[in-house]
Formats: sequence, structure tokens, C-alpha cells
Amino acid sequence: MPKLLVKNGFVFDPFNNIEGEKKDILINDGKVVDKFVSSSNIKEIDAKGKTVIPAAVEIHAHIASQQLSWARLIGSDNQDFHNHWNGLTLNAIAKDYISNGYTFIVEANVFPSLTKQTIFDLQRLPVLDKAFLLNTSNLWALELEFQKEMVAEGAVFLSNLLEKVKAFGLKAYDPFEAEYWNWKVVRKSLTEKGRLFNFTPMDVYEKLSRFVEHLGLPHSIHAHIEGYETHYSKENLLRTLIKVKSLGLKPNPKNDFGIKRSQIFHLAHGSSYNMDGDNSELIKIYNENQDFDMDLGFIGFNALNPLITSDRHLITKLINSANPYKLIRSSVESEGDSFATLRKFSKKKKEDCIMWANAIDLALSITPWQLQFSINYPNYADIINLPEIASWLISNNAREQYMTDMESSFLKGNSLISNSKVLTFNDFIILTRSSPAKSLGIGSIKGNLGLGADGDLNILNLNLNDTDISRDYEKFKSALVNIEYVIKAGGIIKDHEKINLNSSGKVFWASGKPEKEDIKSILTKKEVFYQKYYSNFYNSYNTDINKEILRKIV
Amino acid sequence: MKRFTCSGCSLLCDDIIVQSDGLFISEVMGACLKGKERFDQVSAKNRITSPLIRKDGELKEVSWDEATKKAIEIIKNSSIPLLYGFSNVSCEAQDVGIKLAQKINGFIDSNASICQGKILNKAKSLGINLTTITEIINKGDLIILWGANPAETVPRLLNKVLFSRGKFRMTGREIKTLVIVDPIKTASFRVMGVRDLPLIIEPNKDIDLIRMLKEECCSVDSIPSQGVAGIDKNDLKRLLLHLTGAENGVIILGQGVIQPHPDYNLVEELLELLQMINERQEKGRISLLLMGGHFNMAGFDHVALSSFGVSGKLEFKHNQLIKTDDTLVSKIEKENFDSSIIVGTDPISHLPHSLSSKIAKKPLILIDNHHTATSHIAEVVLPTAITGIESGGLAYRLDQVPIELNKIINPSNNLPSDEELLNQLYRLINQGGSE
Amino acid sequence: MEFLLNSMRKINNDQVKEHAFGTEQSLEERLAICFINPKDFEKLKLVSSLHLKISNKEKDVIVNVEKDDNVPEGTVVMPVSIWSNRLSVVQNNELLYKNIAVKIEATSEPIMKFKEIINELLVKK
Repeated sequence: MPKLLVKNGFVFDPFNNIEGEKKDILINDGKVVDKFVSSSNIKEIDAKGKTVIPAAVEIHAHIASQQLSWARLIGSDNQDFHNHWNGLTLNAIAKDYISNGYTFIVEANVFPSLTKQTIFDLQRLPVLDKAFLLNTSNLWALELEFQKEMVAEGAVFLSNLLEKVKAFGLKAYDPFEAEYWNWKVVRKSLTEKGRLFNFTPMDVYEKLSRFVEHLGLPHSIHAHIEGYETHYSKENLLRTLIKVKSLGLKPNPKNDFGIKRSQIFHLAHGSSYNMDGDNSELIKIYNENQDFDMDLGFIGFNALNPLITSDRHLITKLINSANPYKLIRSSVESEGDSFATLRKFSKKKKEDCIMWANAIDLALSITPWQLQFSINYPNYADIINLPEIASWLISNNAREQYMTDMESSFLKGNSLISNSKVLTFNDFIILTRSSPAKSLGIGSIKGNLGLGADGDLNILNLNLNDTDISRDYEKFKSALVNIEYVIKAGGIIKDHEKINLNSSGKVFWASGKPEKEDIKSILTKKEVFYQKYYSNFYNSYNTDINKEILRKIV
Repeated sequence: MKRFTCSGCSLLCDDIIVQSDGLFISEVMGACLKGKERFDQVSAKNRITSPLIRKDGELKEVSWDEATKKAIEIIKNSSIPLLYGFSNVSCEAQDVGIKLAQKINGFIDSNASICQGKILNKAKSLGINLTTITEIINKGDLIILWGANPAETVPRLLNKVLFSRGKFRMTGREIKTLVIVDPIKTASFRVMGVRDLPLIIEPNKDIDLIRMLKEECCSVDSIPSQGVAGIDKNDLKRLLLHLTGAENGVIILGQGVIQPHPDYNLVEELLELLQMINERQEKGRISLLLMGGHFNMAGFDHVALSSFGVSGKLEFKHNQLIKTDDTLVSKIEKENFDSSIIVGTDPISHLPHSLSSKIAKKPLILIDNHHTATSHIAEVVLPTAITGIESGGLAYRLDQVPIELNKIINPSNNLPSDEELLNQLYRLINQGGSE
Repeated sequence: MEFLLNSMRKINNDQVKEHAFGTEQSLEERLAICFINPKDFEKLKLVSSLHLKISNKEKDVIVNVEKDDNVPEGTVVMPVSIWSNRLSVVQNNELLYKNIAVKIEATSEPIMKFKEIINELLVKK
């Protein structure tokens, strides 16, 4: 791999407390170094007058799953969808993410029986490093462990499963909601046991959090709260946060990296839970508890968005509001439900404006180290909306301009109208680079331009010394729309308009380190369970994947 | 002795015990008739283990060099090649096949387009509820075979879903009701018990049954006393009660329901009926299972969707996917192609004569394991390793669940896998800098 | 007589199997065949030495015929094969494999050989 010297740029590297100083970045053999051993074969890029930042990290997206394929299917006959999303193909996704400075992406929700589809797609997703979260919220194999105090046993099994399927972390998502077989049944409470299971959804959130800490996974439990985008979610969210807090868990990642996560709980798309527009309680909890973090879920108001979800409440709401787009519903191997459809956000719909404002409100009210930029891609926005979305965060003017044609009662009532706070450029870098990397447990290598980090960076045509981005947000946007260079492992993957998709990233995975228990007997019980009740043997979860493209974190 | 997954049909059973030393398979246990035949294909009498070219009307064995050269020549002389098949190859091979089509300005489609793909196509505009095998094992209490005869196409399907004991169906067969809707009393009827419901429907009258169910949905009061479509009133009543009262029902759809009709679309009306039932059902749900038989029919759609955003009928010009009104059938009918690359299928046998005769007219490259009617027509035959036995890869079960196939033994005569062969053709075309 | 032709997959009359393992003779035995209800068998005045000629506006085909109680009257069933597909129809861009309107009659003409069908296709080149 060539040596790369990015010289004379104004570097922003929050992990290393560098905020705009002129600094050279040296990359050798894919890693950031402080000197080159030999001076031959060095590719130089002069970033004089430009800004150099770590490459961005996407913590919550839907890019490689069967659900996404169903969304593509429905969208394939729709001209709006085609015009905007280009079929949502793997190449289109890679191109758009790279164009926006990303080198790492997480697929947020995969059922164990569908992981092979995800791996197959991730292998064909060019350039980007990637990982996926395993949805273990409806795992009948863990019935006893969800019911009783059997953390070590549950952890051993999950560690084995994570290793088989090469997942990175655990997703908690509407536990056992799929077990209300009538599609119309919508669960009212997270603290009630189901007809078929002798534990509550809340128990599952608790147990999954405990499993994660026991295993020492690099990322915390990644949670979706039931009933998002409906009036159910506010209460559900608060109860869940209070419950998780009461567990007294400490973050316990067991990977070797110097920079570890501080959170024990990650909330997905925080914008979607307070549909009354009042985020004050959520903000209070987050400000008082540094061990919670969340990705924000910005709304982009695209012409049309796919909706990939496993949440019964939202789908029921859409059906009842006569969503004209068709729904592909599937129950998958008693591991959960999946739904795919299309929908339109509108600035004329109060609820949609509220969600839009929620994301910004939360971004302005909680320390950026507890937040991550996300758009619940492709559900809430397109990644190509990033420059515009970012402009709302760093400029009050940009925000106001955007809001002018929003629904009138929203404009009258929402607190964001009178909020003139803005984020700094450094905050933006934290939100999009350092914080997601840290939350994922890979802060030592991603979102970081310090020694030993992966050589992933962006060069922006922006000089913050002579641009006040809160006023001149167009310059800021333009720099982000036209990122001059995107570098991955020291190689140039974007050079102005040219994007090079001819390289492969790695699949990051983790199975953690369970405490020594009788692994064999625990797994034997699970094997028997699968033999009795499943269509395939437990061993069939094993993914045969070329070791060259794997990167184990712990 | 090890357990392997069978590639004999789309059920992809993973409980086949195979005794092998990596070179030969000495014993196969647990496979059904179709699975056994699949394993037997390794040493089949009419297996093709060397490339063939038609010379003076006869297929002659030639070297790989000569055969691939001939294939490339046909492709280069072709400006609108047709690529078809791909339901009996791995996803990796499907992926390369699509890339090859892109490279050579081809039109590519899979067997799904004339089979289960038609139902997924309708799902775009009508939505669909799908389910998977484990769901039916554990929760199914109603299994309806509609125009589907698994006993002769996916032999162990009923074993798995009807006769199994599930987590919530511990009494297994006793609590699962089987309904079969078919004009012919097929072999699948043989498993019927006293509480099951055989519905021998009059040929071509499925539409009447569906429409009656739509009208009477959830109310048994106004079923016509003379019955509908040759099914008597009592049976109709029982059917309706099953549909509306099932906790977790599945309708398994076969070729019988995708037959076209000039005045209506049966699949559309069926999907609408299911929508209606799910909306009005208070107890449970009814889902669908698409019963295509080829071991990786479901895979092509997923590969095509993730690569190009469409599930089939991909047409390429100058390396770009272009909008096309053509389907596989219209392409062949209008003779809107000048050569074909047939992969893992036998269109000369399974397409109507009016189409197969048109395919036969143009140069045909066949990639397959053994002789078929199509090999009797082909200009060039490029043999490959048998997927799931001599080469591995990803495949999709009929319920859309991805399953891995393994290599058990080395391929006869060092044959390449479909993926390797298609890759080789791709590379040779690329080198030649052709259009 | 006017009948409906229904082609279907039959595990013991499987073209993939016969092409892979069989001979031309076994291919013809297994696939150049149709099944009709015993009552229809009688109505057509069939005997074991006779064959059935099935035709529609596409083409015709002559095959062996056997009785099968499971086939409803007025229907003739054939296993999916190059023989049955001489009669299957392209209708509005779609393929019709079942319930195809055909005429059938008993005949003493020999069954259509595999080679015949192939040669017909090759000649068209």
C-alpha cells in the first residue's frame, strides 16, 4: 500500500484534542503513523487552506438485509423511487456514502436466519468497512434465559451465535412482538407477559443489556423502542431508560483498544419517540446519565422514502392512515417480523415536522459525545442530504430558511423556533466521526487521526479560519457536497468527482469473551432446541466466509 | 459421515448424511427421491464431463480452450444476447451471470420469471404476507396447497411442515389441517386425514372460488347452495371457517395458480383475497409460501435486487441497465435476441414449442451438468461442477431463507463451478475488449 | 374430443431424471405419455395397442396413454416434457401450461420420437 502524506491541512481530530491546527497526516500501510521509515514512494496531497477530518462512521443504517430487498422490490416499479434512490443498489449506497466522507457503515437489524443474505451483500458492498447488528429480541432459544437469572448461559450461547454469523453486536427491537400472530394486535405495554411467553419485553431489554456487558462486546446494546412515531413510544422510552438505569450496569467492553465506549445503552433514531415535540424528559435523563447515548435520526423530507421496520405500531399507523404504498410483511423463522413499504414525509404534516425538529432539538441540547448523526438510512433521509442537515445544526439561518414552509401549527408551537443555539464545526465532527466510532467501540481506529488509527480521512475545501459557518452555511454545505478527497487506509477512494469502487472493505465482527462456563453443555441444549423446533440445525447458522475480509474486534 | 445440505430442490434440507472421502460419495442417507437423484447425478450415465462443440450436426468433445473460444466467438458476434436459467446455480454464479449480461449488452432473466417470480411481481402492486418453514412448523394450524403438488416436486415439504411437532403445535399432525385445492387428485392427496379438506376444483374455476370467498368473506351465510367451481356448499363452508379462524395459516402456491387467463389475473385476485382475510381476521393470520422447485429460484431475485434494484428481466446497453418492456417470453416470441446463453436449465424441454423453436434457431451456449433436450440443440456445451456436491455457494430456500451449500467432493474431471466458468467468460470478453 | 390438457410435474415421469440417467427409449417411455380417466379411456375406444393424438392450433403430438382414476373426466394429464410442451401455449406474453384446450383422438400411429422433435428444431436453424 502506498504511503500517503496529507500536508498543511487544518486538522480536526476530537479524540486527540486537535481543533483546527495545521498538521500533517502521515499514513503508511493503512495506518496513521508519525514518520515514514523510508522517503520513497510517498503520495502527497497538499491540503493547504483546506480542512482535514477523519472519515465518517455510520452507526445505524439499513443497507444489507432481506427487508431492504423487499423495499427495493416495491420501489422498482415506482418512478419517484427510481429517480431518487437508483434502485438502492449496493453500488449506489457505497457511492453515496463515500461521497459524503464515510468509510464505515453498520447494518442495524438482521435476524439470525437471514444473516447469510447480509454477509453476501456486505461482501459485495464495495470499499466500505462494515458490520451488522444481530436482532436477538425474539429468540425462542433464549426463552429460559429471558425468564430467569441465567446471564452466563445466555451469553455463552449468544457469543457462539455471533461467531457463527459474524455479527458485531446485539439489537434489541420489539421483543417477541411477532408472537401476537394477528397482524392487527398492537401491544400496549412493555411490562406485561405475553400469552405465549412468561417474561415481559422489558425483561428482554434487561437481559440483552446484561448479555452484552457480560460478553464485553465493543458496542453496547443497540435499542429500538417499541411504538416509535406513535404516541406509545414516549412512555415506552422513559420506562426502558429508567429500567436500564436501575440495572446498575457498567460498560465492560473487553476489546484491546485504548478508546472504549462509555455507554451501556444506545438508543436508535432518538427523533422518533417524542411525537408531542417535547424532548425535555429525554434530554434531562441524557444530561444526567453519561452512560446513555443515541443516534439522532434526522428527517430529510425526500420525495419518497422506503420504510424498513419491524415495528407493528408504526405499520398499523400507516395502514390506518391509508398509506397508498403496498406492504410486504414477513415472519422469519420465529425470530421476528419484518415489514417493508414506502412512504412520504411532508413538511405540511405536523408530525413529520415534529420529528424533524426533535432530531435538531436533541442535537442542540445534549453533549455531542453522547450523540451520533444518523438518518435511519434510508427510512428518514438520504445520505446525500447530509450537507443540508448539517447546515441546520451549525446555522440558525439555515434552519429558519428551511422551516419557512412547514406546517403552520407546528411553526406556532414548536420550541425549536426560538432556539438560536448552533453547533460548532468540531461538534459536527464529533457527531459524525468520533462519537459513533467511540460508541461502536472502535474509537481507536475510526473517526480518529491519531497514531495507529486506520488511515481514513476527508479533505474539505473549507477554511474555518476565514469562514463563519454559522453565517456562511452555503460554503459549509458546498464543502460537504463536494468533498475533495476521501481516503481509506491511505488509498484514495474519492478524488474530486472520481470515485474508485475497486476495493473491498472488511467485515468487523465480535463475539465477546464469555466467562468460563460449561460451553459444551450449554450449546448442546441449544442444538437440541434447534433440532426440535427449527427447520435447520443450529450448525447451519455457520457462515462460510473468506477470512481475508473479516476483522475481529473481540 | 457428515451432515450436508441437499440441492435436490428448493427445500434445501440440511440433514442429509453423506459418507465421502472427498473424492467419491459412497453413501447418502436421509435424502428423498429427488435428493437421491441429485447425488446420483455425479455419476449419471449422461453426465457431461468435457466441453462439446457441434461439428457437422454432432456434438464432439473438444478442449476447454476450443470450447471457450467458440463460446466467446458466438458472444462477440451477437449484439443482443439472451441469458436465461440461473435457478440451478449458486447466488455467486447468479451475480457473475448478471455482470456478464451487463458486459455483453444482454438480457438476463431466471426461471423465476415464468414461475414464482410472477407472484413477487404482483406483490409490488398489491403487497404480500410471507412466512417461513420454521414458522409453519411451530405455529401453523392450517396448510392449504393451492395448485401445488409438493409430493412430486418438493417431497419432504409436507413432512417438515405438516407432520412435525412445533413449539406451539406439540400435537403436530393432529392439530394441523391440510386443505388441497386442485383439479386433479395428485399424490399430495395421499396424506389427507379425516379432518382434512380435499377440494377437487373444476379446471379453470379457481377464479370462481376466490371471488366467492371475497364476497362471502367471513360470513358463511350466503354460500350458494349448489356450491362453487364443483365444490359443494359444506366444503366451502369448512374452507371459509378454516381461513377466517386459523391462528396461523399458510397457502402454498404452485404452478396451478400462476396460469394466465385473458379476462382476469388469478394471482392478483388471490393476493387481494388474502389482504381481505388478514384485515378481517380477528384470530390470526394467513401467509403465503411460494413453491418453486428449482433449488435456487428464489436467489436470483435477491441478487438482482441488490445489484440493480430490479428482480428480473434485466436488459443492458453500454454497461447500463435500461428500462425495458420486454419479458423473457416477449424477447423470444419477437425473436428479439440473436444468441442465447442457457445456464442450468432445459428450455427446449420446458418452454412451449413456439418459443423453444425460436431459441433453437439461434446459436446457443449451454452451461449445465448433463445432457438435456437443450444440449441436443446447443452449439457449445460447457459442463460445470454440480452445485451443492462438487462446489459450494449460497442458495435461497423456497421461503426466502438463505442457506449455504457445501462442496463435498472434488468435481469430476476438474470441472469448474458455474461461478468460475462464468467468471472466465467474463474475463475473456473483457480482455478481448468486445462489445 | 375436446379436452383440457394439464401438464404437471410427476416424480416418476421426470424429464431431468430421464435425460440424466436414462436412454432415449426410457425418455420416451416415461415422458411421451398421458393419463386420462378410465371412463374417457372407454369413450375414446382406446386399447393398449393404441396411442393418443393430442392436438391444438399449435401442434400435435402422439403419445402413449394410460388410465388414471385421479384424472377428472375431460382432462388429459401429461408430465412436463418436450412432448407436453408441443401443446402449451403462449398467451398475451404469458405461458399456459394447464387447462389448455386440445382435441384428442385415438390413433394407431406411432408415438412421436424424441429424435423427431429434436430434428424438427434443428432443421429450423
